[in-house]
Amino acid sequence: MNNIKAKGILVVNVAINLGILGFFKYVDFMIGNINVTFGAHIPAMNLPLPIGISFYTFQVMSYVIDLYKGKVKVQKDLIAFGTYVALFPQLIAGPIVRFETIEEQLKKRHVDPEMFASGVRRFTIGMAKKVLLANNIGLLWESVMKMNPGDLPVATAWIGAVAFTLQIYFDFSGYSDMAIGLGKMFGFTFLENFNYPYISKSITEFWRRWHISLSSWFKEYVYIPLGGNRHGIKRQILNIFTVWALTGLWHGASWNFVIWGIYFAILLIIEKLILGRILQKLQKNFGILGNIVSGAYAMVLITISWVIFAIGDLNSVKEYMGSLMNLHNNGFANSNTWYLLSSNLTLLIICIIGSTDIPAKVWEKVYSVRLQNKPLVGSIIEDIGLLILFAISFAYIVASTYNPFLYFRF
Amino acid sequence: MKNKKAAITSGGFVMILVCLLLFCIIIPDKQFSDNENRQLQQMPKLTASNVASGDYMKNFESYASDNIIARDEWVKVKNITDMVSGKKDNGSAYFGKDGYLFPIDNIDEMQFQKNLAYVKTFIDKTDKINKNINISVIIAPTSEEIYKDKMPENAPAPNQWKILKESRDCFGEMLINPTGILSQHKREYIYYKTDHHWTTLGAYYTYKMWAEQNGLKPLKKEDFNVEVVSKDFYGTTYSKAAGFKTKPDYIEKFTNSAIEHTGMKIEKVTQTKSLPSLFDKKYLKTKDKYSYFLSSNNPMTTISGTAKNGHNILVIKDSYANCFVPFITGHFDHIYVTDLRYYKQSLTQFVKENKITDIMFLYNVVQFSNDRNMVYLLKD
Repeated sequence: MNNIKAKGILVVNVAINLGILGFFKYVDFMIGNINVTFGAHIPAMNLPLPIGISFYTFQVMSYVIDLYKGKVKVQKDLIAFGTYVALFPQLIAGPIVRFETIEEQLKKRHVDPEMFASGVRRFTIGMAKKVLLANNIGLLWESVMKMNPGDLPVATAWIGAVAFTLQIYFDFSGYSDMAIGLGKMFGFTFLENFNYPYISKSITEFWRRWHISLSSWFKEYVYIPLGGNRHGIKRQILNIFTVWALTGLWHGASWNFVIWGIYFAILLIIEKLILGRILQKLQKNFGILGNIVSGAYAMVLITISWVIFAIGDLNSVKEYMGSLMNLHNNGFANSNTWYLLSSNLTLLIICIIGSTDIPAKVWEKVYSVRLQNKPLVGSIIEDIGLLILFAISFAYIVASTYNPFLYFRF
Repeated sequence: MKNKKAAITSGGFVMILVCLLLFCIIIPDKQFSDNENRQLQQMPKLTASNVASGDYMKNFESYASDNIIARDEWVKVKNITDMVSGKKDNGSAYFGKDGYLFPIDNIDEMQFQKNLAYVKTFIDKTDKINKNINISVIIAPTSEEIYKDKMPENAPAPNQWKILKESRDCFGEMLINPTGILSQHKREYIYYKTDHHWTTLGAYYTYKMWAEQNGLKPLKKEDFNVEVVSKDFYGTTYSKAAGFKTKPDYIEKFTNSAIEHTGMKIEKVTQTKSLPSLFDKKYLKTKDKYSYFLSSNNPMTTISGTAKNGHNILVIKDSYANCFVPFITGHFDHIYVTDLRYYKQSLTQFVKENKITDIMFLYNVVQFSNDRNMVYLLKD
C-alpha cells in the first residue's frame, strides 16, 4: 500500500475514533463553554456515556497507529480483533491494553490451573481493594464533602483529602487488579497498570507508577509524535503542557480535570528543570532522611492534586484549598474532626500501609523464608486469607443494597 | 505439587461461584424483608419492551441482590466487620455504649421553620373557632439527646436543645418539653436501645408532666398494672445495624381497668375497623412490635374515653404518641388521634364538627422538624 493512502486511512480512522469519543463525552462540555463565552443558550444534549468508551477508542487508535508504523501485523481474524476491542475484563476501567501486548495471545492462548489460580488470587485482591478499602474510605471523603468546603478546620480538610487520595488509588488499582486477574483466568497477560504510586519520591516517578497504561499511551501517541524532547526545551515544555492538558481532559469533560492536568505539567517541568536534580542529591546525600523528605514532598503535592480532581466546581476547589492552608481561620480541628479520625483510624492505617509495597514485601519474606519448606502450608494460609477477603467483600456488596425503609413508621 | 495447589485454588473458586448460584436458584424467593420493612424485588418478566427500556436489567440486578442466599447474614457480617474495624457508625446508626444504638438523624432546619409556622397558624385558627380551646405542644427529645453519654465520643448529633428553644419562643407556655424530666429518670428504662421510640415508661413521665401543667390530676405509676408483653423486640435501629451486640428490648404495657376495657375505631383510607382494645396483639408476633400500641399509625383513630366531663381532645402526632395515648383515656370523653402523614382532610373542620375542647401535638424533635406533611394543617 502506498504511503499516502495509508496515511489517509490512518487519519480517517483516528478522526472517527476521536469523533465518537468527542461526541459522547465532550459535546455538553463544549456546549457549556460556548454558552458561557458567547452568551448563547444551546441546550445540553445529556447523552448517556457508552460504557468504557474512553478505553476502547484509545485501544483501537493504538492498533491503527501501530499498524501504520509497522509495529504490529494486520489482524485479519475478525473475532480475534473483536475480542481485543471488547475484551470485557478491562473494558470498563482499563488498563488500556495495547494490541502489541496481546497480539500473540489473541491467536494462541494457554490456560493452565497455575495461571487460573493466580488470576483468582489477583481478582480477589482487586475486589477487596475496591469494595473494602476504596468504598469505605470513600465514605469518609463523602462525610467531609457534605460540609461546606470553606468551613473546614485544617485537620478535617486534610483528613478528607487523604481519604480521597486513598480512595482513588484503591478504586482504580482495584479495578485494574480485577481486570488483570480475570484476564489471567482466560489466558491473557496484561501489563501492570499501577506500581505502588504512593511510594514515589518525585512527581516524575509518580507518573511512572500511576495508571501506567494511560501515561505510556499519551507518551507514545501524543508526546513523541509532537516531537517530544527532540526540538529544544521550549518545544518540549509546550509538548508537556499539551499532553497533560489532554490527559486531564481524558479523565472527564470538565475544566477542573484540565487544571489538574496542567498542575502536573507545571510540576513535571519544574522537576525537569531544577527540582529533580535537587531531589536526587537529597536522596543520595542524606539517605533515609532524604527519601522521607522527597516522599513527603511528592505525597503532599499529589494529595492536593486529588482535591482539584475530586471537586468539580472550581469555586469549591478554591474554598477547599483555603481550608487546607487555614486561610479561612477555621481552627485546627473540632469535635467532628476527632470523631471522623477515631471512627476511621484503623481503616486509614490499613489503607496507608496497603498502598505501599510493605505488605507484599512482608508476605514475600514470610513465604520464601519461613514457609520455604512447607509450600502447602503457605498456600493454605494464602487461600484461607483470600477466602475471608472474598466473603467479607461479598458481604459488603450484598449489604450495599440492604435498604431499611423505616421512616414511614416513625 | 505446584499444580495440585493451583487446582485447589482454582477449583475452590469455581465451586464457590457455582454453589452460590445454585443455592440462589434452588431456595425459594422471599417476598418481603422484615428487617428492611419493604417488598423485595421479584424475578422480572422477560419482554422485549422491558429489555429495550433497560428495566429488565435493572430489576434483575435488584432481584439478584434482594434474593441472594442468606442475605440478612451477609449484612450482619458487614456490620460486624465495621464494628471490629473500630468504626463508630455504619452510615445509618451509631454504635453506642452499653448496647445502645442510635439512628443517625439530620434535622431539616428549613422544614422546621415551616412546621413552626404551620402549627402556629393552625392554633390561631382554632382559637377563632373556640376561644377556650386548650392547646399543648409536646415535643419530645429522642434517645440520643438523653443518652448523650452512651453515644460514641464526639459523635455529631443535631442540636435538639436549639429546636426546643425555638419551639418555646414560638409556642410559649403551650410547649411542653419533657427533656428535663426524662433526663432525671435516665437511669430507668425510658428509651429502647434498639429502636427509635421511647418506652411506655418514658411516655408515662411525659404524660405526668403534661397533666400537671394542664391542671389535671395525673394517675400515679402505682395505679397501673405493668405487664411485659414482649421480651424479644429488635427495633428499627437494630435493623439498620443488624449484628450489633446487644440484648433485645422488652415492651411494657401500662394498664388499669379503664384502659383495659377501652376499644378504638380505626378509620383507614379504604376501610374502618373496630378493635376491642388499644393494643393490637397481632403485631407482637411480627418484627414491627412497637405497632402493638394503637395498632400502628392510622389516619384517624377514635377512642371513647371514660371521663364523662364533656372534654374532647384531638391528638395530632407521630408514633411517639402511640404508647402515650392510653394514659389520657381517663381524662376525656372522646379522643381523636390523627396522623398527618395519612390524614389529608381539613382538621379545622374536624375541630368544629367534633366539639373539640383540647388539642395536643405530640412529636419527637426529629419528626417535628422533618415531617413534610404539616402543611395539611392549613387545609380549610
